[in-house]
Amino acid sequence: MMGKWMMRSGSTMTTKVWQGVVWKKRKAWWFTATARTKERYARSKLGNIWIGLSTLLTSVLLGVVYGNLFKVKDPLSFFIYIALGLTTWNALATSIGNSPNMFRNNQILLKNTNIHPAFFAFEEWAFNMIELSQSMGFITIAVVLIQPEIALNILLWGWLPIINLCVAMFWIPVLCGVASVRYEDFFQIVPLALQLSFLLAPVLYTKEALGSTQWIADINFLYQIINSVRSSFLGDGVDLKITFTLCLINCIGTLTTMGILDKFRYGIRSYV
Amino acid sequence: MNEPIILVENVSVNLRVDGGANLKTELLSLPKKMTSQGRNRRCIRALNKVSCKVKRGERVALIGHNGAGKSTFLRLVSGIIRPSEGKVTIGCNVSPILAKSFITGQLMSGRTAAKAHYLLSDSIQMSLGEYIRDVTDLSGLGDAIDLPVKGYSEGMCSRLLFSMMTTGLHECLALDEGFGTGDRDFYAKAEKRLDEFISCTGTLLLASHSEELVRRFCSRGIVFRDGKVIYDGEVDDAIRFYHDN
Repeated sequence: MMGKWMMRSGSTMTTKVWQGVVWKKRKAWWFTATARTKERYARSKLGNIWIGLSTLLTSVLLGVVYGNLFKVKDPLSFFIYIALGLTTWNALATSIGNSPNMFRNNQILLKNTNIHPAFFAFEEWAFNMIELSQSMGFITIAVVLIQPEIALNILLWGWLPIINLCVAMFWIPVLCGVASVRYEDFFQIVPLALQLSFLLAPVLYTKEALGSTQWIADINFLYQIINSVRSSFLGDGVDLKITFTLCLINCIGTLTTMGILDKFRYGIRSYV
Repeated sequence: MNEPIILVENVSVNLRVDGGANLKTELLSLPKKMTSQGRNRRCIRALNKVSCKVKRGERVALIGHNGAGKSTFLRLVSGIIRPSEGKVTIGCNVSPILAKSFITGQLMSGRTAAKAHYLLSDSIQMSLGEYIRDVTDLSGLGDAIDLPVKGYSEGMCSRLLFSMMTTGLHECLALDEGFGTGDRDFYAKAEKRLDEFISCTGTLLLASHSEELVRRFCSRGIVFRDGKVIYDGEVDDAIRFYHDN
């Protein structure tokens, strides 16, 4: 075998995506993701402070409105509940909501360079991670100022649910991105599914408010991810059964997604 | 020098022209697919039973009308697309320069674009500082390297991209249309860069309509028509064949 790689019709090139794209190119996709963040706020005076500020403002406003609506007795605790729920939901929903354009936005590069599509998937994930860390950092400072024991809860219980959130923010958007390239219908399905998930998930209200229909929240994977982060921050502890189930789903999801990315890398270029 | 680094054997490439599919249509056609009654996809045959061999250090011009298959051939050997039929064996890193597009966005500077390319490339054997300096010198951008790419003219973009792509070591360069939008000064620098590249036994695949460029840099010409190779030989003979047929 003379060549480094060989292509036959109907077969795929044998490359190690994890080694070749994820690890070897980590500086490149992280750099392009940070450049995207800078570009997004290039003309703004406050820059990326807007990420945290907008989440904080929304949380305050929704905390007041929903606090009055549900006649809550402790407005500060309710604000913390809403702020944490909304921050995690926004991060997860934004990453999924933008996913149909993940490959489309890079179609010129996909069609004219030999950059693996996984590079763009990881760049998108890194971009979302930067946004999450900034909004989460801002909100965490605000809620710790109100309730200092939250800092200890994060250190003791928060890390595993946050890892779950970060992993889910990789494979769900990438899977939606690949599906959107293959099937145009996903451009319509993704926002609809997100809207339904949000309306049926107790993000802005408590789970008890659902009454006998609490099972709807239990089967909502996105809500379970958010709730495990929020519960751990609020000191309700970690439901090990749910957390490890989420871990398992995330592992399977990530491995499947990486496999799909590699298998359909030519298909993505062709369909995009 | 005589070692073949690109071996294309009886390769055909079908390109889809219908984009993404409709979920409803796909679901309705599922029984047909399961019974192997074929798929109803609109494709064009961009390459048709192409075979050729490129040796290390060869300078090959791809000649032909628009849509003849030159760019598809470059994409094929660059690993961007795969063959629908046949076999392609590549024994080197092929660096494609096919589109005037940067990895970073339009509001980012030329320096950021160059840094992103440096981090992404496997073949650049110099430090980031040296690389940026070399790119700035060759492109002639000067202080404009720190300005947003959005404000660059087409010529500036073209110069920056060519400089980014050709700085550092490359085993094989797949160049589409070359560097036609640069000014005379840049053209001379770019020629010098390509001479240096060729003297290091770099392999060049150049798809161009410019006979001057093709004669200047290539020794072999492959003429494409309707996705087929219709001539493969000395570059002057290939140009003559292209005009006569």
